[in-house]
Amino acid sequence: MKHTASQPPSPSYRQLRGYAFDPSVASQLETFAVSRILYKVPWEDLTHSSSGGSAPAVGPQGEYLEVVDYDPPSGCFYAPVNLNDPYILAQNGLSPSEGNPQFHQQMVYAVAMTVIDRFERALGRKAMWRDFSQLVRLEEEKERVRKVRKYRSESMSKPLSSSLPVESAQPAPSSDDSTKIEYYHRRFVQRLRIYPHALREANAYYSADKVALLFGYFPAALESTDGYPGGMVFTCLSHDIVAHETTHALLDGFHEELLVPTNMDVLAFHEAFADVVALFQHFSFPEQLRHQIAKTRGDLGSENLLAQLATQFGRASGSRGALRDFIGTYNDATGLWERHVPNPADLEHATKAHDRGAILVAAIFDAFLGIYRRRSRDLVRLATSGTGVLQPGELHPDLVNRLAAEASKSAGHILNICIRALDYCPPIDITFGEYLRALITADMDLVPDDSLGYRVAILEAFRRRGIFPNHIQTLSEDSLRWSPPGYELKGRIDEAAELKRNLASLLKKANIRRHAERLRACKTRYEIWKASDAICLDIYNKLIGLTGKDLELAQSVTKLKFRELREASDEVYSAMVYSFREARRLRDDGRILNQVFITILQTQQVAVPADDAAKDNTEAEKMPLRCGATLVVDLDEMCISYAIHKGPGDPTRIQRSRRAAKATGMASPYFEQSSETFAALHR
Amino acid sequence: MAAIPPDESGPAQGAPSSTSQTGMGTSIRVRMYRHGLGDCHLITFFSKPARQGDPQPRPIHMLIDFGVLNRDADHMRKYAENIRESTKLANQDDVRVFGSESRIDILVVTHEHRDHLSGFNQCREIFDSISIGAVWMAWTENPEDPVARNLAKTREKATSALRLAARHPRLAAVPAAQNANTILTFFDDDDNAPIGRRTIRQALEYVRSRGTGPRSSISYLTPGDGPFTLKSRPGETLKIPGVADVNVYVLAPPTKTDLLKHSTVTRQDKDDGWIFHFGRSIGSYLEATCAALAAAPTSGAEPEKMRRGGTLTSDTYQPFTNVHRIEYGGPSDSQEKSQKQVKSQQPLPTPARPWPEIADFFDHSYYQTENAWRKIDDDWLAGIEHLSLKLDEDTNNTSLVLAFELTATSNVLLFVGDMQVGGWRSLENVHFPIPVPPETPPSAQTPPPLSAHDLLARTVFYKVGHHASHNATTKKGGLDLMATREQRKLVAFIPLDRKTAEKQGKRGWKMPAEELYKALIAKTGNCTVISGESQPSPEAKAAGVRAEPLFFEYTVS
Repeated sequence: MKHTASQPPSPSYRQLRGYAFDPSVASQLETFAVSRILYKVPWEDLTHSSSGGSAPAVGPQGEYLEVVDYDPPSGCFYAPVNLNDPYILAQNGLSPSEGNPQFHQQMVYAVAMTVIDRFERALGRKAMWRDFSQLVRLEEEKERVRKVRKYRSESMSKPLSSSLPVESAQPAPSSDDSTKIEYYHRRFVQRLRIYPHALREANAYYSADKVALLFGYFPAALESTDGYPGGMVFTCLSHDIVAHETTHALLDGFHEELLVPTNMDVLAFHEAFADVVALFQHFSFPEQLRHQIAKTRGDLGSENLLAQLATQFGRASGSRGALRDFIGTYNDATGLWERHVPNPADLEHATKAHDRGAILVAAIFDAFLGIYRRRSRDLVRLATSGTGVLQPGELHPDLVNRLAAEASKSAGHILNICIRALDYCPPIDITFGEYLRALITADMDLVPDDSLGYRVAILEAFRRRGIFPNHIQTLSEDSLRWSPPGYELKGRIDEAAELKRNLASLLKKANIRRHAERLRACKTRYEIWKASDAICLDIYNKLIGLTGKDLELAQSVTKLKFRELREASDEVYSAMVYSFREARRLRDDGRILNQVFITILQTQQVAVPADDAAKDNTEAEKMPLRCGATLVVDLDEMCISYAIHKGPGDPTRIQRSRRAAKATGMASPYFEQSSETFAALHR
Repeated sequence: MAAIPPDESGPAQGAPSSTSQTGMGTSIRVRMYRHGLGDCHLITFFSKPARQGDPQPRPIHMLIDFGVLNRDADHMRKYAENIRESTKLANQDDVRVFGSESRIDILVVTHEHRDHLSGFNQCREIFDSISIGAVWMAWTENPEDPVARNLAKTREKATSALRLAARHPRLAAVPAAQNANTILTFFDDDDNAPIGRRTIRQALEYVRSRGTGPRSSISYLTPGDGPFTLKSRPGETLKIPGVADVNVYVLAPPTKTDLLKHSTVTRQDKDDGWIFHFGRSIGSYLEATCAALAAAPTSGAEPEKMRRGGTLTSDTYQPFTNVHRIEYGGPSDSQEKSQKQVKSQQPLPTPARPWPEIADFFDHSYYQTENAWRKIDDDWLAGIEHLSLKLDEDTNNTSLVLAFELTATSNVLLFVGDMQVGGWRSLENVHFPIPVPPETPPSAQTPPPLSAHDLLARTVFYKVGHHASHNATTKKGGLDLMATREQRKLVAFIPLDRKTAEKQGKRGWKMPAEELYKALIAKTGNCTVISGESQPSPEAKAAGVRAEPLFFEYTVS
């Protein structure tokens, strides 16, 4: 029996020491003071009660992550760190050291957990990893069922349920030919696995197949611009690389089809998003922020550590500066750092995922700089008796603190906007322009009155980089905001009202509200996963059971086809309800936004454009096209606020996806593409 | 034999016309041998007598490459015999002068790959009996050139390291290694040579030796070399002996460093031999990977388990000091088995479960059965395939690229070896400055240089690069520049045996690449001839392509 009152309360955070950027920053006198940081990660118990008693969860192995330090090239393991060891707890984790593998484990754990925490705080719900899917073959006696269910053997599609036998998902057919069916059985993956020393190369990547992060180590180039030539460089000790790869995993767990490169922007978006998260994390390091603001005299648009990624990695592989610098670059001829000049034509010329991605990141960083300058202008005026012109010399520490606070706040806002926009993205085939629309829409929902000019800053920055969406009338907030269903009925107030009523009743029939309640009652991530899975299955069954007017309505809102699914005609269409997510977010005006986001995926057979077919001499008249829709439902109003669809109606998309398919077919001269998208992308 | 009528536009501007009108009207016969997947072209120049009534001059023979994949020496001998037969000297005086019945006036080797060189190993005794006048190679093979020497060294190092890595028993089950092995056979030993195993480098050295005799010469050619000047020997020009009205231009391999991807260029790379543009980090990947593999034992039924008991003294790329190493091969009976093996061979076996509390963790994470799909045993080796491919591509880009221009008609024949995208891109920078005659007044405008692209535009015969793989003929700066059949009567030859190509690698090579092939068919009006096909198309036959069991041939004048 324990005495309750004397038990200490459980802590909210675990503090762990680590490198703020990477070890190279620690070895320079100028930045030495700010090279280390205390990562504050959400407290988790890190003990296992399963095997009787409470064994320490070494590794560390927690709710989200498991660090397994196996080094296959060296043929050995490194002992897992026990973060619950009193000596480690008492000194905020092991002290940063390149030669101690246990510290490496602590570092990846700390950084990855910080990123996960940041992601969850922005979205207001638990983060999930990609499901593990396994091909299952079943003896099936029903030919018709096989047809209806054909979509499940598509590699990307999600099965209806992991626990329910597949048959139950379908309207009962009756026939007795015996055939084999295949489908993907999905399993919940609780923990992202991290291998801090998996490769001997200057590479690190997220493996979607293994739901794991693989980090490499390599000897620095002999002529590396600083550091110890030939010395070992560990990618797992770079905050930026760990944060980048963790974000890849988070994004993949959010929308796994964003790994299917149906246009040039898809993988670039993956890269850009991962960079954005890694980059803006820098601004949550108070010491580092103050140091860099003092150094740049408040001008974050000049060369500074915060706007760069992976300094040590870049220099160790022989280039002059960091791996990526989003505001400038070293001119090879002069050896001087020069600021980038935004050029709208850049986007047209960039075809590689990293190059395109860098343009998106630069645009978002520009938007941040604009906001920060706007927010800090009054401070500079106050500090300069209204002139706004800073005196030469160092800035007053108070001014530095206040500027740092503004920078940190602006960065936090921008990162929130960027992450929340994910809910408003189409589930497949994303383009930068659509991401811009998602950014604007998400922000308009939460901050109806843009008094600080955030959206203007974003719009301006994107425009200067030549990032525009297609098919909008003007580049203004209103045109950019996603449309509600039935926007084409403008002017017919009675029709619009009727549409709204019908939609509301449809949502009621689909039990959307009850589903949301059920999801909110779930505590653990596994419960949430199971509940969403069941809800998706339920909605799918509702969808294919629709008839008459309801069916018409659902089809017109999503631009997808459900009739064929039920009738299982020769034209086999596959579909799935991919996700059902809820969010309650506080709006700027104090009200609560009570929303549900539903994404539906479908493969449709579309006609090959006539001129394309002629050019390629193909006989095929039809080709499969991935379609999908994201529905944003307002639970209080019981209405669909936005229907974001990627239907078959856009002929340019058909051409684009043909071209993309061809491009991937030609990318590897002799052999098929390796399955590790990111391994190749980073090599 | 169909001859091509002179183009109405006349000789191209800049192309110098011979001062005398005699000796003109040479025709060039291109013979593509049909020996399998590999290159071998015999080019014969038939000149007209210098004065009317003079005897017909001796035809001049040039052989470009002689190699094949997956064929033995017996097979190749038929073709070598045909070459010897076709280059027989008619005049007994010539036989006395050259000391041989047959004579190849110029022997050209494009690059060091098996499918271009193997025949010089397989049928060496036949070539020994043929007299060789001159040998032409790319500057990248010049042992006197420091850049070329570095290049060869880098390539040699990379090839042997990769070969070692890819053949390691540890990699037997890794698909990436199998693909790498296929690629590496391009450099490999030739198992069917009657005189023991010889490497492709040895074939190249043999050809080189034939150019260094007392009555032969060897030239290492650089882009820009041509009828006006030779970079290596200023004042001299590139000539085919006895042929006055054919100009030879060297277009590649490029010497410019700007072909390199900016991201990977470092100073060290530039010194090392830039064509092999592994970033330093990738180079270190190779070293580090090989160090790890070298530390692994090369025999034994269970190399993976064995390795854990092996000595690792040679592996200098270990990231941590030895105190951190925990060698552990997993739980259960498999562990016991490996224990026994280790015991039988090692005096000091490592303990099965070195530290139980640590081993426990790995049993429940890495070695957990239901999580076996997350193991990473082989992922670190995936880079080997990538590197092999890179090496192969870089070697293809050392291909010697030649253009022959008939001055009377301004028609051009183009032989590109296996040049890939990088090489094609460099052509835009290749120019041939036209010398100003000494009597020209200084005020006169200097004529603009002749560009490689201009030669491409006048091409009437194209030897398709790299067996028409997808990345070996570019559209922009390549095929797009060439004239269509209507404009210039373009004919294309593809040395390719589809059946052999399909057997390469894990999935077979897609040769010809569909899109390129279609483009070629369209451009040539169906006069695209594949060596492995039984007959050329009716259009090609009508255009004058002659079919024989051993070869296809076509004559341009």
